[in-house]
Amino acid sequence: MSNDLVQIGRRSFLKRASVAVAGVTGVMASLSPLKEVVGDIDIEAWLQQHYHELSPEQMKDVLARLEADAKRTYGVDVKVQDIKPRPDTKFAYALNLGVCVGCRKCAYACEKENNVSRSPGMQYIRVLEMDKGGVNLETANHQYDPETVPKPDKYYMPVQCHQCDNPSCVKACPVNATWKEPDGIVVVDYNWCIGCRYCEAACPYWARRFNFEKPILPKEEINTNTAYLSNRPRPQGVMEKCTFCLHRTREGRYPACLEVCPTGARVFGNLYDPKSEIRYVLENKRVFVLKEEVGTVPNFFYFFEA
Amino acid sequence: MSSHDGLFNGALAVGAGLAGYLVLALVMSSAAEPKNVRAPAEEPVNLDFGPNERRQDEVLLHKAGFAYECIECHAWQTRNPAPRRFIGEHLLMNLEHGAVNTCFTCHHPTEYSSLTLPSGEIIPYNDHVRLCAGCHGPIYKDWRNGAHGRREGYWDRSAGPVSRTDCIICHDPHQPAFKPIAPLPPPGVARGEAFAPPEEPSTVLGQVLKYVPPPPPPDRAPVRLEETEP
Ligand code: HEC
Ligand code: HEC
Ligand code: HEC
Ligand code: HEC
Repeated sequence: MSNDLVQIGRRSFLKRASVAVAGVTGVMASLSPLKEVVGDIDIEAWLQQHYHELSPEQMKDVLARLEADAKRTYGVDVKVQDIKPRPDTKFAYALNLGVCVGCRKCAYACEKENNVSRSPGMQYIRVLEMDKGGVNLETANHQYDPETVPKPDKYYMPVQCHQCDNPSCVKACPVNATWKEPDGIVVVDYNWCIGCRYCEAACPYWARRFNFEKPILPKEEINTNTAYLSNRPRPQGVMEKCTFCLHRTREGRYPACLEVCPTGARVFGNLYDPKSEIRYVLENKRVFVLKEEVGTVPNFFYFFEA
Repeated sequence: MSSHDGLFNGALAVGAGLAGYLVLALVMSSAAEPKNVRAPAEEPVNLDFGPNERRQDEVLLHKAGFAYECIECHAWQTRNPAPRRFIGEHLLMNLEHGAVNTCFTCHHPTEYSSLTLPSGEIIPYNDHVRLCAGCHGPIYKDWRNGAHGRREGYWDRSAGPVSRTDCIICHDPHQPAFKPIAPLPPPGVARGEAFAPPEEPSTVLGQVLKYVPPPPPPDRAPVRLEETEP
């Protein structure tokens, strides 16, 4: 009770104070971002439990709420599901740098598939252009824009989340809003994330993206088949990243970036299945991982082979 | 020049038929360039990730808006196996396939509407993968195992089908090198670009206060993923 009184007292004080400085527009302007950031957080979302603590009934309510939110915000009937990992499955990805031409189709297909905000720099997949003859990330360029690709003296390396076995991003998260699922995918609970961006700084592969702005999504391009842990429309101010399209891959399908690749550079599959395509690559090609020395143990492999 | 002879003889043999063809060609050629069979370049990409559709069971020569079967001309025309620059037909045909420099390495020497294997076996056009496999064994093995060429559908074969793209969807058999394509625009520079060390204050409040409202989003033209298969 006394707490409440103090609160009210503080609030009315603030009111008076703000009246006092009403003329100082600069102060008001400096407060307006607060409105932008916390403006339309609704109370239910605010009080929602962590993903792991939601009972099935609560989850049903949450999904219904998210669907209603999406309808209100974008006017589209989005289906949000909670798709669980499959048993005996661990996903891995391989990318053939010998055939990748750097056309960026994967990045755009991903953006569309995952309802990624169209604001600049948000794409989960970043394609690095490098000089042939080495892997020099220092001089890599991801803003290349020639008439046609590939350029003869360059090669191209798409980088997205590596779904590490020893993920530094997960360790960096102070609130446990990001974790590794049994099928190897590192996921984010967008409703639990506080947007501190520690994980972004911890990731050695620049794979995480922060939603600075309210997501810009053209209504007619929204993918309505979504999952809680992957491509559902996200709020502003949270971290997001590639989830190997878990809403597709957990249902047995290929990720969107793989299907759109015009060169067939991408190979995806279940590591535990000895007959899978990914196992064929790991057993027959000389694969390497990016920044092996940092000890993150990625599940994303590269190889050079025409 | 043997090629001229061949053409000349053929023309004599079916003079009337050829005349009709020439008239048609003259009438139509100003309107339509000879179209290659595989040129749906303007078609937008199929972002439904559906299977690649391409008819290979029937290979036709498209010309002046008409489609001709190979035998319509080659039934009467004298066969000429010499590598050369064509002047009578197939003017745009330019074989750039490594050491493969004769048409009849792949095309059957008499059955123009079929391919042939080195063994002499006649195979239909839609079986061309067997032809390519004969000379590109390792790549064929990769392709079979899903490490070369493009796939669509289900990685889990028990959940659904998978489609594999045939070699000629990506490689023109006559100039098999993968054609350069136009890249989609670069992602643009965003605040929080990961290459620059993060300079934002690390507390939530600090970030909120440092928050600069974004400029209104530029009218970004919707980027269409263009289908680039030849
Ligand atoms: C409109 C008539 C016409 C059609 C239809 C046609 N060709 Fe030809 N083709 C020619 C002519 C004329 C030449 C000779 C060109 C030259 O010597 O300059 C030729 C040459 C060739 C040659 C070189 C060997 C030779 O005998 O001269 C091959 C191989 C060939 N054609 C394959 C095909 C195939 C395969 C098709 C079916 C897709 C086809 N052609 C359809 C008119 C045609
Ligand atoms: C490496 C094997 C190979 C060689 C060598 C080859 N072809 Fe072909 N050709 C094919 C295949 C395979 C197709 C079927 C392509 C398709 O389905 O679109 C084809 C299709 C064609 C067609 C019809 C489709 C088109 O692209 O216009 C013509 C005409 C043709 N070939 C002419 C020739 C001529 C003339 C030569 C010699 C200069 C030649 N080919 C050499 C494999 C070959
Ligand atoms: C008679 C043997 C033979 C057949 C049949 C054949 N190729 Fe080739 N191919 C070659 C040779 C030889 C080269 C040149 C290799 C080199 O330069 O290292 C080559 C090169 C290539 C290249 C690389 C081209 C480049 O410039 O990088 C591709 C792609 C290719 N072939 C695809 C095909 C496809 C697709 C088919 C089936 C339609 C096919 N080949 C059928 C012999 C063959
Ligand atoms: C999805 C498209 C795609 C399909 C389907 C495909 N390839 Fe390729 N292939 C490529 C690309 C891209 C390259 C790399 C070309 C480059 O580096 O310029 C390549 C390279 C090659 C090369 C050249 C290898 C070298 O050492 O330079 C050969 C030969 C080849 N492919 C044969 C085949 C054969 C045979 C098939 C069918 C069994 C096939 N390809 C199917 C996209 C494809």
